[in-house]
Amino acid sequence: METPRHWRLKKQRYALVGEECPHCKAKIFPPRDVCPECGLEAKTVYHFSGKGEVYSYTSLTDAPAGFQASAPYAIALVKLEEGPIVTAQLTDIGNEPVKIGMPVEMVTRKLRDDGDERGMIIYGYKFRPVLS
Amino acid sequence: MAITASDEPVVIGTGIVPVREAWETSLRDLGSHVVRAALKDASNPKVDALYVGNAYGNVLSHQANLGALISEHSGLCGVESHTVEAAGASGAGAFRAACIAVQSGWVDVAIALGVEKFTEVPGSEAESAAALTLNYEYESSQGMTLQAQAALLAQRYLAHWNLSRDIFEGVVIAAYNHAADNPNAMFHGMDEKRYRNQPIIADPLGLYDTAFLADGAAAAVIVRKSTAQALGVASPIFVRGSANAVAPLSLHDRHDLLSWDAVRKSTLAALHKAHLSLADIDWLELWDASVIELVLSLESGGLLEAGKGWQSPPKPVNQSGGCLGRGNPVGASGMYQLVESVNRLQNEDAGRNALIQAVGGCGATAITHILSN
Repeated sequence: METPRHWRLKKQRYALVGEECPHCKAKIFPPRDVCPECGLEAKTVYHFSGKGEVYSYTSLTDAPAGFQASAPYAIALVKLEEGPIVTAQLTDIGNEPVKIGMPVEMVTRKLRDDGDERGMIIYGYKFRPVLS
Repeated sequence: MAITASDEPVVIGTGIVPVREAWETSLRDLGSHVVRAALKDASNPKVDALYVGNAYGNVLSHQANLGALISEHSGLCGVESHTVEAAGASGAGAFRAACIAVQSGWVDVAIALGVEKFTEVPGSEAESAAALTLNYEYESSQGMTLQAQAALLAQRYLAHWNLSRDIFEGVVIAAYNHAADNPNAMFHGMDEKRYRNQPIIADPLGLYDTAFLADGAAAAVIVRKSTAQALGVASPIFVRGSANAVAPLSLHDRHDLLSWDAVRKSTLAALHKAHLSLADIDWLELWDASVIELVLSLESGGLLEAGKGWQSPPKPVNQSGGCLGRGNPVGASGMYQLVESVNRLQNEDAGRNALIQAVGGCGATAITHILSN
């Protein structure tokens, strides 16, 4: 597994750090060089709240290598309240049926390990139903 | 150098093998087999270039630089050759590269090859490899797969249009039944009972709603119209239009999940290049790595209205059975579509103009060709 690559993504994975476009004020996640809304340069750091709702979802039984320990799992497109959509697993859902529009919030969880290669574990964001 | 009508690319020979789980053969042998078959079909012209469409050889066969590997094994040492990769559109990308090469005048005789050897590793490794065409940092690292992407599209589609998963039944059964007449297809027919008893793999999609990933290869020999005349080819098939358009790779980066911009732009650009409109097209081969991908291609390509892509299209679509019925050798599938369409157009009763479109990565890259007899 590529240590520098996952280390480089820590601000996004652990804290949903994206960008706000200085020109059109669009909120951007994941961060990138060019604003997808106005096409101008985007660099200003923006911290997302981690609140959002399920935009679409499914549940997987055939997991890829590294994810079998979590299978079956629910994976979703989550629309953040600031606008962008992110791809993430849903967690802590118990027996509650997942629905489009369901309010969710970001939590930090183990995403995968590298088998027994070097003992590296990747943590990152998942989303759980909002605790009321 | 001005490009004239006599520079138009034409297909003068094809080679194809049935899609299957080809455990007894390698990526190299599959590829060279159809290259040699296509050359023989074209009466063995002297080859200048071989463009190889392949998606997963780097990972599943631990093999890069397929251009040098396959041309040497096909007896074509010394030609120009390299790989074209665009996920499921890789084969169509190789075909387009060959058309651009001959039409430019820099190459006289080009071969476009699509080849995929998918069944080399166990299931979970293959699932990981298949996910290679997703965004690694923000999709596959979250546990996303190709099937899950299709399921997310389907789930959103059904919710948006207030429909149930029953709408997919007719689309999938039609694909499998079309494949009954295709000698290159893995599957030959499907009935309602079998479809309804399928296990759900990624809610709302079941086992038969996503095309089986398999092995295969198909190739075509492409020259300029003037070269075909000089070679004495009686009835070449003309490549009237060709276009490639992309959309954001990740589903989460699309402005509208259910409108496929790449498909729309690529369709319009290829028709424009051919000086044709959709009304002039007699039949189409569209992308159906999963049922929802065909539904969205029909809508974004302009054949059916938004929300109605699951209904019966106004023109024949995927008479080959598509990826669903044929099986999906990903990087080769675009060449299967093209080679089968070329062969069908040899029969003039089959109609005049066909639109062929392959899509890589769940709506990300759409490559369209217009073929005419």
